[in-house]
Amino acid sequence: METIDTTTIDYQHYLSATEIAAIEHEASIMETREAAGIEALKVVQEHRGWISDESLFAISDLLAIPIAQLEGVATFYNLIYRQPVGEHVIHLCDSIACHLTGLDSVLAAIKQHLNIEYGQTTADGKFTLLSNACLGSCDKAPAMMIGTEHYQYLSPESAVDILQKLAVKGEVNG
Amino acid sequence: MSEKKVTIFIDDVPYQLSTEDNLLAGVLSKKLNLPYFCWHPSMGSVGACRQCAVTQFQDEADQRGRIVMACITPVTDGMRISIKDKAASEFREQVIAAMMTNHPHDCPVCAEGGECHLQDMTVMTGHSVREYQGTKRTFNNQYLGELVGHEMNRCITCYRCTRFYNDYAGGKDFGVYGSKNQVYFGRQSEGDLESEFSGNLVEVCPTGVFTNKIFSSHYTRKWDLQSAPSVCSHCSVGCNLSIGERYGSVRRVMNRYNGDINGYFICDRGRFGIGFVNGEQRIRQAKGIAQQSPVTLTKLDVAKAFSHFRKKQFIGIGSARASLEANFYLKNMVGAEQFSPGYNDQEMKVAAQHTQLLESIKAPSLADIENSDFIFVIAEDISQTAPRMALSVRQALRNAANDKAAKIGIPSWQDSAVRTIGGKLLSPLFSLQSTTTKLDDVSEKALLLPIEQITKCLATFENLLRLGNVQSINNDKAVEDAIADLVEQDQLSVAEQSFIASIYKGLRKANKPLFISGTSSVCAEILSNIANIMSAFKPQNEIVAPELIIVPPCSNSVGLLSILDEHSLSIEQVLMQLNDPDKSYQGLILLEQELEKLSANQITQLRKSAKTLIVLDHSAHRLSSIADIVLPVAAVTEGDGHYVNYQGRAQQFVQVHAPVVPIQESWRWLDNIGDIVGIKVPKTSTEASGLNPCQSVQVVAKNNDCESLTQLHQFFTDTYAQWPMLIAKKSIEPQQKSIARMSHRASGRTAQMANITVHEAKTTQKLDDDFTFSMEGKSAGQSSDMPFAWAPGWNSNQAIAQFQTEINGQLLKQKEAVFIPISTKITNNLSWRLTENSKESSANNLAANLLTYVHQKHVYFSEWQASLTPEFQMQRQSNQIFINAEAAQQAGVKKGQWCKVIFSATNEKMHLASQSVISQVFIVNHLPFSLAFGNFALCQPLTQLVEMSVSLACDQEVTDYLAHFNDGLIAAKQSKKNILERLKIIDQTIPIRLFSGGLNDG
Repeated sequence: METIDTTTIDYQHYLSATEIAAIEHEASIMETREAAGIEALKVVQEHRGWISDESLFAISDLLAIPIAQLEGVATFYNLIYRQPVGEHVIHLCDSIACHLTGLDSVLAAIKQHLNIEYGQTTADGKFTLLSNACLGSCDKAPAMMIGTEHYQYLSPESAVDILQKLAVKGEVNG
Repeated sequence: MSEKKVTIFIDDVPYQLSTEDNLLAGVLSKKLNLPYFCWHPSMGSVGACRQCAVTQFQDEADQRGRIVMACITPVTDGMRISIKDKAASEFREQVIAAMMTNHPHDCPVCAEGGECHLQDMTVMTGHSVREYQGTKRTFNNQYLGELVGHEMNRCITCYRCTRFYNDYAGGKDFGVYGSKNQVYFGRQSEGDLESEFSGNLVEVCPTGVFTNKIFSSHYTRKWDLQSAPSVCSHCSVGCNLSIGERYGSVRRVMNRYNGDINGYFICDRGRFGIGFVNGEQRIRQAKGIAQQSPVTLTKLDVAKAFSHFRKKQFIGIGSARASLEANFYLKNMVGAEQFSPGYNDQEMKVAAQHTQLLESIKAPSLADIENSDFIFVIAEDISQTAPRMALSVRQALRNAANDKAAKIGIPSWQDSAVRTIGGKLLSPLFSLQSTTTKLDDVSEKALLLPIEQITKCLATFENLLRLGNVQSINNDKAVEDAIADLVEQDQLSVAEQSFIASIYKGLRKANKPLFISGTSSVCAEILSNIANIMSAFKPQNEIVAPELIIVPPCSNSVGLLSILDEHSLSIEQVLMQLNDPDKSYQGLILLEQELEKLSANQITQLRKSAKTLIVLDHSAHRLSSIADIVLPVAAVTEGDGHYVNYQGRAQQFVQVHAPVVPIQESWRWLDNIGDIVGIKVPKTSTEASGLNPCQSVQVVAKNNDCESLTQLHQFFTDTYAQWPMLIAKKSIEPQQKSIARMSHRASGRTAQMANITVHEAKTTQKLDDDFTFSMEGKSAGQSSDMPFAWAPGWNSNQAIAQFQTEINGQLLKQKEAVFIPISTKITNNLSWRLTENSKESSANNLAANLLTYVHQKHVYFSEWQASLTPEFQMQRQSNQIFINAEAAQQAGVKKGQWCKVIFSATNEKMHLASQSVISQVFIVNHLPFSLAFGNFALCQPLTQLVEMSVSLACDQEVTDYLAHFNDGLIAAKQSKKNILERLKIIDQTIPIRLFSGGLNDG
């Protein structure tokens, strides 16, 4: 792995003006600068798709948060990606209600369709498959989340159908 | 403490408990067994691990009760709880069972095995069978430097490590990552742990995630260690240590609880700096003494070698790292007029000021520091020179948050609640320094100034206080106006004025203020300023006079100070005396003194002037290599003696293991030599009448060697009126005698030497020893100086709760602290008084367009003995210099760039010296233009004011420097390897007589 020069990294050279402005805005409405850590991670992820080590160090430099503390935040939340992900990230719920209502067959169908395992990204960079602790849709299980959309009452067929639509149009109902 | 005690019923038995602490602490203070993980006596409760469950009942009629976590339950009058209740005890067992689904079964190869809190708690809950058949989560471990090992699979996620490292000790490079069943504790990426307190993770972690790497590399189970109560030899705080050894080599250092001083934590210098005892630099043989017998050096050999020095006059140089006994002995051997503490003129002036402060003001203990509500640290980086004190300062800063929480009814033990309500609220800490320090992040204001400017600020502050005594300065505006009036003559910058104003304003609100300074800057004016400030506090001012701590550099600095008098010589005077043709000195005796501050020239001069150079030391240095006679002396673990801490508290360090002959304590060597060279004793009153004090002593041969420390003290008491009588009393009561140095479970004493002989060796016998070199004897808890902490069911250091009167209280067998009297006789010597002249000259220096370079202190390297530890050397950083932004801009350099820095000093007449250093440059905002600091030392003539030029270094220069730097790291690594190899060979060939008296015939 490439080592990062943490002593000389300068956020101004790494982050874009838009990113810095957005993060500074978040920092200005928080009680302390370090409280903006989570928002800063979201801002940078929005622009770059994921949080690289360089991004992490740059945010740490900008907000003066110890890198260990920021990494703790980044790795705690499953919607902050510390590795490159595909265009669409599938968060497949693996809570107990989904298990009871056929998660296994849905998962098998998705894996087969995309030819990837949990934690992997398809070769074309379209999809990343992740598991997710309860999405809160236990009454509509099985469920998954892609981007900001929740998809419920999944069957192997409907799940694959959703993925196919996304792959072609970029959205399911479009 | 006026605390309220109430009656509560635990399993229907009434107990009197304090309402100040939580239920778990109360239960443990009654010596009842209740398992816990996340609670820590000094870190409070967070209720994370769910292990201390008990059943609480509504009233007598309630048979069912409800489960509560004892650590987050307050003690209330008449409450009824049950530890034995089936529901609670099953709950506790199941919590362990859940942890065990991930905890590996690697106890036999785990360094924590045998003193593992998790093992103890598992046994305590009765969880003895594993039913879980699934896989365990696994992690990659990190390299965390040379000191602390990492084995994350063992983690039970109690969060104690991060609560200590980050919350308690203010670390920044450690964290918690991930969530759910994948929680990881460590650094963001591999690398050396940066905290000065990282070693405490070893004791704080309830299991074997964090282990002492140096101990692991030459390992022994706790039950096979032979331990003794010791005192840290690496700074003036005097933390109590438990040092363990086996087969004659020191294995490790653990914290030894002392409620007044170190409590549960010590710094890394104290824990890992013990490496010098086993180091390659150790002097193990005498030099300059002809040995007759092929086996060993005898007293006769020594007598012969010293015979031609009979009644000859020597100059003796003592040392702040040698025991009080050795220094006192040397002084009385050579005579007060020939004794030097090894200080230069400037340091003598500091010493004179320091004795005056010590005599007039009683310094608070570390426990007292934690009650302060206002702290001002002046010109001493305590985070590096007395790290444990800095840790206490950090805790004191939490008082503001504790008070805020208390107002809404949250007790201070509710750690996470107090931290939430407190947020970033801290009690005020002000810091006036010449370098950045590790306390800056919690300082309300931290001002960086050259030392001369600091003295000016202090003088203005004193004037402000005096003004406050005669006129009312009772609001912020008045403070600022008063300063503005005062500074006309002192010329202070706006920042300096505002700093002084803040301190004055802060003090007006403080109820228990504390000032801390030290002698690192070797500036007597600072101490004199502080003395003036302390005298300026008058009752009518309505400002509470602060307590004061002066931090000297060494473990026995104050002990050495206590024996100085008007005759004591500085190094410059020693050199002069040696060259004086009128005085025919036989030579120089150096007692554990490396004279670090002397330049190479001065060393040569010293060698030339001294007819005979006798060095007593444990490790080799510049002077031992050119000495005529070198006597190998015991390191702190190999002998007995006393150190006196910054308060004047005398503490005994007890021999951990017998040294290999001819090594022995310095005082024993002096005792041997005293037979021949003679010692000075006071004449009886009839002989002395009519003589001036200098002639009131006579030289006599000291017959009969002292066989033990007790005998030595008896001899001192009988002979010298100045010997602090307090120490003469046996420090351990007779009924406490014969405490076993080994645990009752030491395995196989008979088998220890089975590879050599089947006969069981006689154990080492020591006259007047309070401890036995054996597992036979009274248990450790019978003594106030516990060799180690162990109680049935409590194999880890957490056993200490079983020996405290209450949690965080005194030990059950606590003995009274001994404070020695400090003499201010040194101030009778006019040479060491501050004159107006010297004050002015130091002030005028600033006028020239020069720069002050300050060598930043470092926890590993600022103390000579500890710095010899190869593991510290392996973590040495390459050169770094910190300069002001303007200076960097002028030189055209940016942060992190490699530069060539040239320092030069000239006076009016000539060019004195110059030095070129390749270093990385870093920029510090708010650093004055005339101040720079770095992690490297400059050569002697360049100590204070210099000219500095900074330019970018060429690639070749950087490559050459880094190659040289890496050579140093590789050499340290090799040294570590050599030491380990040697120790492992010794383990296999322990000479039988080592056990019975320290002779090495192997």
